[in-house]
Amino acid sequence: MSTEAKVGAFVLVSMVVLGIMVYFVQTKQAVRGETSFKTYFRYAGGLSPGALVLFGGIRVGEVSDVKPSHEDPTLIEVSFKVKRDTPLNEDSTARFGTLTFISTPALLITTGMNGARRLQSGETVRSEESVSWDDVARVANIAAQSANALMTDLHQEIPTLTGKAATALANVNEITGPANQQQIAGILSELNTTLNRESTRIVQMTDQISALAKHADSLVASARPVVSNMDRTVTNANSTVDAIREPLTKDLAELGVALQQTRSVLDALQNAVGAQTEDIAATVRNLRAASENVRTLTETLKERPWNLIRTTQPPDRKVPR
Amino acid sequence: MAPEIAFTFLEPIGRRVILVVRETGLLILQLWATIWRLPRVLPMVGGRRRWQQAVQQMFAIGVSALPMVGMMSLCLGFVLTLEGAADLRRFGILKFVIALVAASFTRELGALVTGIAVSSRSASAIAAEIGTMRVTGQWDALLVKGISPIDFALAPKFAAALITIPCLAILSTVCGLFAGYLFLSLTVGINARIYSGAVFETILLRDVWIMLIKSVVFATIIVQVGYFEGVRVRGGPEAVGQAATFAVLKSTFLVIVADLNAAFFFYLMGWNSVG
Repeated sequence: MSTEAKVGAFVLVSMVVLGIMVYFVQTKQAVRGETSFKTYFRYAGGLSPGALVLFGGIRVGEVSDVKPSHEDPTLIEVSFKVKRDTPLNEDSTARFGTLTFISTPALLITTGMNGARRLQSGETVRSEESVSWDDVARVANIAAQSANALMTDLHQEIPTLTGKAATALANVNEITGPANQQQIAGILSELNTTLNRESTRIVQMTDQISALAKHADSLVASARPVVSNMDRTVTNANSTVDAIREPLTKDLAELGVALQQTRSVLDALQNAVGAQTEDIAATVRNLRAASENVRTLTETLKERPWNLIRTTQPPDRKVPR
Repeated sequence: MAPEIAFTFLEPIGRRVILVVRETGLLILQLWATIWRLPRVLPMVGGRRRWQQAVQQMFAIGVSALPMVGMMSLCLGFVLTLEGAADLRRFGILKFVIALVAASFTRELGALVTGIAVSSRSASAIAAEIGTMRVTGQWDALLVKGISPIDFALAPKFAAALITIPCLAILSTVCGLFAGYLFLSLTVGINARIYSGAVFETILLRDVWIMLIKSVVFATIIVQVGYFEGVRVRGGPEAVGQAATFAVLKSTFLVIVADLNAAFFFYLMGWNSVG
């Protein structure tokens, strides 16, 4: 093998190895994500660019940016990229966590619901605030303090409680003592005797109550058609009222409008009469004069009917001599 | 009296600073001249004989160094995995051992091991070769014939180093990663698929480019320093040996300093984040 061949093989092998390395690294880097999403937290828990993004526990991408939100600086905006076909949906929620106890934080996204709408690139994934270790420690500290206070109180109250418990136990002992036991036995014995004595009457009363119940049943059965009829009647009345309610309402509304119009007409008439009072008085006077004239004419016609034919008085007829 | 003592104290420092600045300047000028003459080595553009020389140098610098570089990387990979696994296994986070080996070799050790190995082999060889030419009068003969020593001796070596040292760095990285796999496979029976998955999940493409950039820088340092030390040879054979020793020392030191600077530079550029 010549020197050139050895050198050529050496360079070729190196280039092939480099090519394979670049190919596999690029393939793995493609997993680092192509589709961008955002989510918001109040506490980001040490998430940083490059942190893993797990969808249902599967690695699908990585966090690309973590910064305070422009719109609301009290929120931390976490941008991340996932593989193109990752089925994030509206019900998916994001929270941060760690894969192992000592590993760096990762963004964990739940799979959501099957029927939920798929999220598009750039949309916001709902977030679920996680509790920081500081918060846990603070709560534990508060709980410990409360427990301490509680223990102190208990220590103070235990003697009192013990005394009360002893008294209660003594009372219980007294109640369940031999004397009370004898009394209770006597009461039970008397009760038993009474029951034996009155059992016949109790049986009779039970029979009567049964008979009464039967009567009540038959009464209820006979009343059932009446109730049914009443129901129907009420239903009919209801339907009638329902049927006429609308036209009646309309008529009443129209009547109200008519009354309003009448009132306005009367007002107008009154105004007109008020304005024409003088004229009406003059007209009445004229009418009165006219009726006087007519009366005079009537009188005149009664006395001199010929006036209808002649205006001048005819000469008196000569009386034959 | 006091000023004389101060001068006695300051003079060596000043002399050394001037020397370093002068040598740096000369190295930069030499590098510039080499880059300027590099096309004359290329097969299509330059002379055929120069390219043949370059191929010979590729064999000497690259192919011959492969067993040594490979062995060094294998050993280092074993050591790194062993040390990492010894501590991290206790926490059940063996994946981080793979990440440690992958990131270390791709970003740092692959190129560095290659640089140190080649500087110890080739820088001394180049310095000895050029020094011998100086001592035996071949250098003067070249000048008399009107042949540029940079054309004749430096440019082919530089071209060969620029091509082969990145190749060596790639193979060195592969050897280191293979050592990690071998160790984990023998100790915990790790699957090759899981191992390679974890490796490629850890390294980023920019890590590969960083490794190649570093190896090109190391190639430049090794060849230029070796040649520079060879050119400075005056006198007899002892000077040749001394030049070879200086070449190894200086090139190795400069390779490590350059690695530090590169790491600092890439850190400032934000390229050192974990993938």
